[in-house]
Amino acid sequence: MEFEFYNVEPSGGLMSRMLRPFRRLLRRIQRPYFQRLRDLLQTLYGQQTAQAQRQNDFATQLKTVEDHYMARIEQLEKTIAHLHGVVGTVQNEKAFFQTDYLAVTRRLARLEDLLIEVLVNTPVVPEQHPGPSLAKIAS
Amino acid sequence: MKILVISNLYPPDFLGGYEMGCRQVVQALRTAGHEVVVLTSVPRSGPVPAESGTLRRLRLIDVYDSFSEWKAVPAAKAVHSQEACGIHAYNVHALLDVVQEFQPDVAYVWNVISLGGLGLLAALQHVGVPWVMHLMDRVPAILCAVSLNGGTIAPLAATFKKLCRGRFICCSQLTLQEIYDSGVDIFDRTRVLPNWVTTTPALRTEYRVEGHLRILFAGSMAAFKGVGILIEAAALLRDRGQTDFTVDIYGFGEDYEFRSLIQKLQIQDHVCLRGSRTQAELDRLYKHYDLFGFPTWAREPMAFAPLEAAAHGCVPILSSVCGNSEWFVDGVDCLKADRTPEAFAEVIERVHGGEVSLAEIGPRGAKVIRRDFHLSVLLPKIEAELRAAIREGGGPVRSADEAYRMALIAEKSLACLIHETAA
Repeated sequence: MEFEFYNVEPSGGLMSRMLRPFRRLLRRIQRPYFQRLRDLLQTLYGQQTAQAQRQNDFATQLKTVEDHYMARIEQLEKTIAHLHGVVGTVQNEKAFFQTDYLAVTRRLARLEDLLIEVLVNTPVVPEQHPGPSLAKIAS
Repeated sequence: MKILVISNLYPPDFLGGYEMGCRQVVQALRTAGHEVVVLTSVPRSGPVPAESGTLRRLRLIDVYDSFSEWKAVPAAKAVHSQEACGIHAYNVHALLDVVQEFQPDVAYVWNVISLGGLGLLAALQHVGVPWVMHLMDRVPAILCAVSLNGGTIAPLAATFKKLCRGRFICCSQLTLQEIYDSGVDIFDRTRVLPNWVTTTPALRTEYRVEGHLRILFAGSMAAFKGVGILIEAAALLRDRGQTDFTVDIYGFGEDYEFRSLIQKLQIQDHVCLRGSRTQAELDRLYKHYDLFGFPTWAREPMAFAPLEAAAHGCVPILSSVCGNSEWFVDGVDCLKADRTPEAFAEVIERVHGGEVSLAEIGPRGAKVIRRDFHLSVLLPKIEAELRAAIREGGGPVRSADEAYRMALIAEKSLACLIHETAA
């Protein structure tokens, strides 16, 4: 980038040509300030360019990180959905077994009642069957 | 015993198994020598023959009709629901009159939704009549919600629990748990007794005549009963190449939803909607079927139809979680499946393929029903609960006039409160 703005020589008419020596003189006098200004502008331009580059790099990095996390989120969502499915299945199975278990225990209790009823109504010879009286068990 | 039975409906006016079951128990109690008077509502659709011992004196505040459910404005609906579940002074008066005339030892309360159930129970307690409520639905939870579909009002539920002196018979643990989950804790006052059958048919031995698998469903034509699931299961079976089967669906109610599903799935060759049948007609039909498909919802308290079918050796396929499932063992005396078309189709396919022997399960189920689920077996347990309630007593006997006055005040106050809130 060109920053030596002071070197511009306007191509003008008679008046301009007449003023040229004065302009050169003035430029000569101000040259150190102009050169300092040029250096400062060059530095600022360089810094701005470097900053833009860094920003660009950062945006690229950010995009990479974002993509990575989006992929991770997607993967986690899939895992969660799968786990929900598994939990649902396990809960269904659990509910099924609980219900069936209840049915089995009720049936067992009923059979036990019936068995005791039958045994109580069956004459038992005490000598042959030692142990607590069945009537007692039934009660 | 002098037993006063209270039910919102009583056959020939009925909605489902709850009322049919009520009539069966009433007949059995009468046969057993008890003096039974039934107090119920005036019939909803035309006159019914007069029956000795049945007083149709109550007013039904119908919350089961679609107008109340979907069309009524909120304030009107709230007043309607309050009268149906909370307090209806007219019905309290009618009940107190009957109590005075009949002087019952115990009140045997069935479904009292649509009668102002809370008011009736409070009136019974006020005049010192012990009561037992037979639950085949979450009646106490609905009463304490003061609406059919709303949530339980916690202070009301707490008061119910505190003041309740009645006993409960409940058809399944699942229903009892549902009532508890709604916030009404009646565990300590409840005995769980299953529903029943009243017939004792001959044991059958023959299944799948000529290799054809016959499946039926009987009940109300509602999506929650799983009619759609059964139709979809039939379509899946057909798609898997099974053709030698039929599904006959018997039921009352609107069936256009299922007609359209049958047409959509092009399953007319295998599924047939056969309309409504009486209980006696179904009793004659069950023996001609191999399976009773019952993909009902998990809220099902305990339907009668699968029991009746099983008594005839027709093997029920039940949803794995429902009131009926907690009384029968999978693969022993019934079959169970998850409540999906795929799961039902899979079980039916296993039967079709001969992996599951109906000839073993069917007769075993019929024997179990005969032994444990016949009303003659369960009636002594019901009588024992009624006697226990009498022994406990109904509390101090207070004036019927006072009960009626309180009902009037409560009814009017609640109506004003609802209108003021709505305004």
